[in-house]
Amino acid sequence: MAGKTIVITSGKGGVGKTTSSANIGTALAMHGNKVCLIDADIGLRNLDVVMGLENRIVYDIVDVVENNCRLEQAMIRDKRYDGLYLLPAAQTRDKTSVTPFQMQELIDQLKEDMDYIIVDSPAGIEQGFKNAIAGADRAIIVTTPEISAVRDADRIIGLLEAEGLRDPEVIINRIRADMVDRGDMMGIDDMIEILAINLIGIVPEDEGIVVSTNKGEPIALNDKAKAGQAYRNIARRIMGEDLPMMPLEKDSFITRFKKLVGLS
Amino acid sequence: MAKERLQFILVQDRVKLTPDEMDAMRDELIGVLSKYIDVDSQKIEMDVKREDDMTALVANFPLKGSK
Repeated sequence: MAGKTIVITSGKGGVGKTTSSANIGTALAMHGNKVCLIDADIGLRNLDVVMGLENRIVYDIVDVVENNCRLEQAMIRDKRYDGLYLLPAAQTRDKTSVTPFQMQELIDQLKEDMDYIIVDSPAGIEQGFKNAIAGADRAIIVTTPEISAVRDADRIIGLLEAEGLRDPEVIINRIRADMVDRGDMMGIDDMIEILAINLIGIVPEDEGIVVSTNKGEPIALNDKAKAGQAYRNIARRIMGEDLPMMPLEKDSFITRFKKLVGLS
Repeated sequence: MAKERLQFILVQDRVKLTPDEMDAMRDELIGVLSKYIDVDSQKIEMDVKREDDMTALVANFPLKGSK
């Protein structure tokens, strides 16, 4: 088997890389794919918490590259899907503990057994970012509709192209239709025009993300959540399906009325 | 609003020039063009666009009195 490696990156912190990694990985596994999530944020690991797997960590990625354990020993099997694994970051080491070459070797090894390898990149453009993109075939950039995040996304596009990762795609996260309508938030078309890259998904702002992170259950598992649907659609697009973008939903009349009278 | 601000910031990021250098380049371009044509310096637009396989500086120099 020759799996595909996708790096999830952004430049700016706090835009939803880890949430996106967890949900894309989970949604790909829902479709029967064998998926390994790699937390490349060494020293600030969090993907384990978002996946609800923090109690199962024995070994981590640094143990693997330092030969303290075998790769399979460090891979944590997900509670929900048999084909879903997490390779956690080390928490007490720093980003220089792994080199891009070691990362590449690790990914080559995983590719033999996996359909998809999802690498959650740390914020920034230094060593951690370079490690995260080392073995990637494809890059997905996460941004939010704020000029600071889009600016950093633009920098990352340039850096990825310089590293030979052509045609990155973008997820626009935390969009709010009501704010776009009022002209208080940049619209999807404007951002895509400026960044000049392909859109792979739009994720609406969803309070459910906070709840799902706190519970350690990716929102892709939730049938009713809009953000969950958005991530399931992104996974299908990654698998090659030509799926139209979900229209941004405005608040229903009832919701708007409730907000008006202070009930919601 | 945000779109225009972002575009302005990205022009500087993409060409790796400081605002002062951008202004200097703009003024020099106007100087050169003005030797030959009547440029309306108030209406100049400069943008750095990313195309399929290159990044290009795209500038519009409207002529004075033209519509």
